[in-house]
Amino acid sequence: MIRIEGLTKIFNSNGNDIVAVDSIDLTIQPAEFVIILGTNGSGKSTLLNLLAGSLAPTAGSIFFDQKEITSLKEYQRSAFIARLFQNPLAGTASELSVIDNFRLAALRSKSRKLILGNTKSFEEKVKHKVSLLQLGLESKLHQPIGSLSGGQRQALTLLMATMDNMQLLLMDEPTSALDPRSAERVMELASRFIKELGISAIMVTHSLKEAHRYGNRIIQMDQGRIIKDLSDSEKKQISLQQMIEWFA
Amino acid sequence: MDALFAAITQGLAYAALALGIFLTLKIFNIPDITTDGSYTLGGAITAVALSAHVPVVWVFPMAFAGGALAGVATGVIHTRLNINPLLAGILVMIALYSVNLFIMGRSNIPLTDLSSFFSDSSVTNFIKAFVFALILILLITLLLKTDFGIAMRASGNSESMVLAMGVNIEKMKITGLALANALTALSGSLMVQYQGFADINMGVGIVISGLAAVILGESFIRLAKKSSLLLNIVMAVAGSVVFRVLLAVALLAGLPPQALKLVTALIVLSIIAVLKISFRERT
Repeated sequence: MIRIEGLTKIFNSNGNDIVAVDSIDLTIQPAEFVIILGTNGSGKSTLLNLLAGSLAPTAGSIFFDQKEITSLKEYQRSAFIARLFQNPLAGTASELSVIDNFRLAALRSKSRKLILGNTKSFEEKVKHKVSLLQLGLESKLHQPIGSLSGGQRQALTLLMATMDNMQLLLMDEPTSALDPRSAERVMELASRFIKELGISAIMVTHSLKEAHRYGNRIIQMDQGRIIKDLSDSEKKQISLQQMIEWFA
Repeated sequence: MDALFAAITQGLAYAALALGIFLTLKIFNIPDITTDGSYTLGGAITAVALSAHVPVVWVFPMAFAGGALAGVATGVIHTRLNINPLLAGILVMIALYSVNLFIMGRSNIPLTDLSSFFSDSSVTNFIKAFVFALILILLITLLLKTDFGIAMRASGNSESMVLAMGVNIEKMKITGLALANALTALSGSLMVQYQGFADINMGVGIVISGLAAVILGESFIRLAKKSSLLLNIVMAVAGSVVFRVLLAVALLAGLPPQALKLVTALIVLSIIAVLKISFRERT
């Protein structure tokens, strides 16, 4: 369970204070897949970065399972948080082979020792996992991951997240750089993993269609504040047309 | 013939330097020029230790540790103070000049009549330098294939990914710079034992030798159109040897020694230019 209290982020540019996130309180339960909508500059990406630890808050606290994690660095939070970035290149190391990328992902919450971890059995395990994607990538495990398309990389990044302990999945416009078919594949996959693993997930998106179709809770942000927070049952009663009107 | 043979042996002695530059430039994507200082540091430690009759087997770990400390200094300045790595390297390199003078006590230490890694036989020296380089190639390749090494390689490749994978990238960069400069210091140690003296100015511009080796190695890889971790590392060492041979040929052809650094710079420039042009044609 994630709980944030009075979370605030103020950026200072040229002496002007810009309040990106304005004392937000929010609790997210396990198995909750939260969609965050909002116009540009509404603070949704900042909120995601505060949760991931790549930004430090100006005020407020973040709790994970009753334990305060506000002062934990990004790499320390990675022990239980996985991320899917807007840029498909950001979630993988291009020059490293697919299998090396998976090896690193399998050690997200562990220490990386001076042992040769890319064993035959590890490779078989990855091969099996990758074959479930049905993208034919299981024969390309030794290719640099950079030689694959953005959609393939984004799908692999998601799969990599499941290689190690994951309690929270943060997704920042994960499909905005993908073609419609790849986008749908990534969303179906994410949705499936969240359900199967019973984890919490937060996705920032500009696609109202995705927002309408996926997730079981929806939040709208404006000027750093939460202005709408709909539960699963409320979300189901909202039509796509009504959602478009939120932004009118 | 003797001069060419000596050049090959020297190229092998510079293999550790080439591997150090390979690590910072190709693996970590950091332009580090602590090199000039840490190379001399390795040489200074070696000269003083051998003069004090420290056994040769102890001299290498001492030089290695000295270089590692220099790398840690650059790494800490770069990551903890958030200073550009190039500037961090320059600062440590300049500071090391004084440190090296303190260690040596004077600007030149001859090592005549002292036992060292190398002997009087050029064939034995070649074999020793070759085995030394071979061991380093195998160790570095093995290291980069471990779980730790995968994280190392990813660090220079995608910072966002590595942070999301739970890697403390600052610690990783410091470790990488330490290892790279430790290797550089090993080269300094080998060269001092090979040439029989240490000099405070022996490291001036040495970074370009490592750079030339790595860039030559890269061009071999492009020509071969094959790439693997081991091949990349072997080619960096091959680049080191080829570069020394090129310089030796230039000297044999009558190049005045004072023009050596100019020619060195021109060789490196022309390789980079050729790589750029041939790469542009293909894309």
